[in-house]
Amino acid sequence: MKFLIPYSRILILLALCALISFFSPHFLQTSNIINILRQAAILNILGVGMTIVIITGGIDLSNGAVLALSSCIAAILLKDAGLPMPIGIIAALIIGCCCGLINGAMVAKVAIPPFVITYAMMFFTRGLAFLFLQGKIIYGFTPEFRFIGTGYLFGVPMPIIISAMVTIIFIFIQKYTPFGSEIYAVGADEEASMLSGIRTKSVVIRVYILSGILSALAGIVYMSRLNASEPVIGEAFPLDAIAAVLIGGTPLSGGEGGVGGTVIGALVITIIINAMNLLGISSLLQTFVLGALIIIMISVQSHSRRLFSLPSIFSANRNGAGS
Amino acid sequence: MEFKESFWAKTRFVPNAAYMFLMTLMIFAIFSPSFLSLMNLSNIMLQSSMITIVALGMTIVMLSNGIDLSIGSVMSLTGVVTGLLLASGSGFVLSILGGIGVGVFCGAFNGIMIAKVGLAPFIATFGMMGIADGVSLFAAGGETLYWEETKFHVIANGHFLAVPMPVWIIIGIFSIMYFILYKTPFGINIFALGGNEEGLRLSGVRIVRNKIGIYILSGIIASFAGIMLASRIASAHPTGGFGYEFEAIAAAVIGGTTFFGGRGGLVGSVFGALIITLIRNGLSLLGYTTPWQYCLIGIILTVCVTINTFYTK
Amino acid sequence: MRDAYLLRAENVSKRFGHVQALNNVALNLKPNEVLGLVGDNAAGKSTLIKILSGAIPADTGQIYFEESPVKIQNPLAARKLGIETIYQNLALVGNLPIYMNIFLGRPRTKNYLRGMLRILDQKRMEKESWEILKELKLNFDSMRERVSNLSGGQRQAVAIGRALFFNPKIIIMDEPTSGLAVKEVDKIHNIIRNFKNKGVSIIFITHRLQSVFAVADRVMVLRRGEKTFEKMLSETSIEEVVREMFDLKKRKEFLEKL
Repeated sequence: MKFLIPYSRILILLALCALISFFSPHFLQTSNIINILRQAAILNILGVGMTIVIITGGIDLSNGAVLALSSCIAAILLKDAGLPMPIGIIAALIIGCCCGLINGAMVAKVAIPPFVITYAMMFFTRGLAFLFLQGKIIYGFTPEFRFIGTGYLFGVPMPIIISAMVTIIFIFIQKYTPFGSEIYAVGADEEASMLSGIRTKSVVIRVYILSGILSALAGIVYMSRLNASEPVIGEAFPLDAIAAVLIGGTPLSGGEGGVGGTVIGALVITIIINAMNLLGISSLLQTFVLGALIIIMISVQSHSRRLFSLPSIFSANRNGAGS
Repeated sequence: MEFKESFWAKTRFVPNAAYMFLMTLMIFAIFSPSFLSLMNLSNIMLQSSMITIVALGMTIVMLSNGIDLSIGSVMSLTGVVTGLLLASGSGFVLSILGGIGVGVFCGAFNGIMIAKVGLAPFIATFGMMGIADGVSLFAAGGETLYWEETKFHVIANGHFLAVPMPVWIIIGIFSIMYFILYKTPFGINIFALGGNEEGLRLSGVRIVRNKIGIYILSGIIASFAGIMLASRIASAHPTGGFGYEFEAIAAAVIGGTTFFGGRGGLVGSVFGALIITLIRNGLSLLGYTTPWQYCLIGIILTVCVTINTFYTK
Repeated sequence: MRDAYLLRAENVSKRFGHVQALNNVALNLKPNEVLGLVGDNAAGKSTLIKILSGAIPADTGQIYFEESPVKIQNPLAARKLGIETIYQNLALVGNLPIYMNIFLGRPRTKNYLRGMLRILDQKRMEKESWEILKELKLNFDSMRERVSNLSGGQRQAVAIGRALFFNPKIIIMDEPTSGLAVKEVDKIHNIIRNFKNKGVSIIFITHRLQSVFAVADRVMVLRRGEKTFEKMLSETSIEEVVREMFDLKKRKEFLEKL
């Protein structure tokens, strides 16, 4: 159980910022920095959920779709049915919870590979989102609701505050609570954990539920910021969130890493995209650059430490070490 | 010498997916009699051709305990490159060779990243996905490409002996894959990589070489699919292949192949692809739109995997 | 005038990070000899044989096979020299049938197009697997059974069959009796004696000292990465070997001093 203090990663982040600011003086302007932090906020919230799932050795491809579904339902309740804000928010969180529950139960009880069930869930929830919204876009929410995404608290934009709170809570959980250490244990060696008395199935289910709830939370912030909700949102999110987690140092094989690293990962991705925009790099090239950078960063990481490996799609090759 | 629970027999055994396919067919037929018409059935075969091709390639990668997320992007890139070659008048053969070259190159890159550099397949192919997308968009200038060469369209739209070309292509690819998997040492290595990679290494097999070969094969198959796509719509769009990697995974998983490698087979994946197409086709005929199809595919995927999991326990 | 050694390793060292797994270890093996390699956990035994079988490279050291210097860079090189290894995890692929495991890495093929196209010759492999396992007096119903469906002893048999098939000069066994029932352990002893009668040399690692004293000619003790003891079995006893393994002599003296 480690709180991954990615000193090296923070340094890389700072070096990256320094490099970019050399090319584009706008980069370090306060307004831009706040912009970056705000854009990274949603990715961060999703990333936190993805991190704990990945630490247990699983993965959640459905977070974008759950985000869409929960925000669509919230939108219908808030706008069409005119219900008060707390009801909409709670409804969204409940949807996220239910989706997560199904995911977790399938993984834990039926032993369906996480990749498959969350992928199926992705299809299913996205379809539901379309069905509920009947192809419309809902927009125009109350000012109170819009405050979540666009308001400021003590001069700091709300999304940043929400994202920071989520991060702090989960860092606390992973470092100081028994649940946190159980998450790492299950990811590192499920059988040993079970034999030690840890309720591994319960841990797995809870982790997916949390991911679902966080996806819903991200959905609320997102739709509040856009002031609109439609079924297509969030398609790129699962892969972006996974990238943030991986860059942040949590390996797909699970058992180590942490939320702290994911924050850095989310920042790195957002900064690179922001920088590319500032530098006028066409969006055509952006995908290319992002893909190449992710490969480079992760190769560098996996060579600078020894990964435990089981031959699987989720972990890199072993580099020696026996007895 | 007796014959008991033969390894080959188990994979030649009719996979669950075949039964599921028949059941789905029956269910739809009950709701809509025109479903079983010859025209509709051959329509389904045609529509499923692309997914079937990529599913076959993905099956092989998954059997070796890997994954190739770049299939869709390689498809798009192949279409773009082939389209550019055709538009510049390079002729039918050269353009196709160029397209296949894209698959070889991307596959080799994936393989080297995974086998030599040691990246996890998920990450390496994910990165390739972005790279290939970027290159496609850039090369095509963000637009759809068209060309005047018409022989090319035969690939997806032509017929040979009254059977549509895509079906022939699938039969061809299937036969080659089957042969490679079950009749060559390379095929054994693919299964072994999925079962016990370290054991294979200790037996003296060059793992790096074999892994690179697997991803090159996957890349080539993806480029075949890309060529067929471009041929079918007589144009090349830089993101035409978007999402196919996930369809391929879904088809393979429904067909019985899992990520723990070593089980399941090509036949299952063919049925998996057919089932997915069947659902889409059936639901459209019955008047249900894409969202319903999405939901149903999600449910079917879950059901099939559950059945497969219990069957193998 | 000493006899020529079949295998000689000198000066072998290997480090993993902070851990010095082997430090200047020498190993000698005569033709037609059974050497028992023993030691406490993490003494370096597995590392040593992995180096000899080409699974991992040594940091330093020179190996001589039949008195000429060789480099064993990978498992294939070891096999080519005639060194076959049976690993503790058996290095078998569970989802493949028995006959495919026997020939893992070296399948029998029919070659076409001047060797460009190699097709598996399954019939031949089945037949030859059947024969080699029959010779070992091991009974199976079918060569096509998946290895994952076999019992521990049966899998051990397949691994042994694989090692024996290509007429090795040296067989290395890592914990051949671990996890086996008593009757099966006896079978392993007999197999080792059979190998010896055929002229093969054997190195085997074990925690079961009874096995060493049942079949070995010589015993070698590793302790914390160093060779501390080596004697012909006729010149030593179980007690002495145990003392060497755990360094009990020093402790005895230490306790006596108190």
